[in-house]
Amino acid sequence: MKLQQYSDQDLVKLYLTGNEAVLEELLRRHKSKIYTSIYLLVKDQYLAEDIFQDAFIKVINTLRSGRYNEEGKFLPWVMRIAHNLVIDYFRREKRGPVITSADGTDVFNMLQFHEESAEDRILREQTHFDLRAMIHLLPDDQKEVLIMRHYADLSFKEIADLTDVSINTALGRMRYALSNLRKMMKVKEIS
Amino acid sequence: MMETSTSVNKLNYEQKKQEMIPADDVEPQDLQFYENIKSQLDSLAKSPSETTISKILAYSRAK
Repeated sequence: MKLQQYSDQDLVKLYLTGNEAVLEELLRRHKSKIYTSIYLLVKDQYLAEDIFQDAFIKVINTLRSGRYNEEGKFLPWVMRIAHNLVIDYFRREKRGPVITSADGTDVFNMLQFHEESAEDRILREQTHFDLRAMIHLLPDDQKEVLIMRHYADLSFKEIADLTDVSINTALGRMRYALSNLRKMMKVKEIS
Repeated sequence: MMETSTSVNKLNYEQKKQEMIPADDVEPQDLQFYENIKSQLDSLAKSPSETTISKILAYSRAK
């Protein structure tokens, strides 16, 4: 039986018996979904490569240590690891020097890049309007759901579990992501 | 009457306003829009370099 015919769960079991070729098959099967998801979140291919590599090192270490829960699905599990690494990266980036304004508030509190509406961001940044740029302009929570649904092919339940929200919230974020993308394209057409 | 400004950050408000509205099914026009842009979304997909893949496999063999 060829490796391509095995399920992810069976491949993991084979890997734990020492079959190295299995890891290659798992990577072949899922690398684009995972890497694209990371890349669209961090917007830097070299950083995405590093995070992708770190994610799979964690995968290997967890599998080898026997801590992998066999009932969990492989792809959502790896996506959770990758997602946590992306969050860790953004937290480290945020922890830059604090610059305070004259009234003592942190200047960076005013720069809510990730939470303004899509229309405000278009007007402010005046970026070129290809689809990737529009995805980057979405609020982070909406961008995350769109990326994980379309590229990582996760169910809304899996996305909700991974991002610690209700399914309703995950669905809502997808809905608003699509709605905002559609509005951005309309703005582009008018301009 | 004097107008006062609130402390609500307008930039925060738009996203939070969207999230407070209960999610219904995706609207037909948004669903159609998604179908229309699927191929464009697919075209943005990327893969990691062979170097990265090789490093991962090498790590696994060494472990």
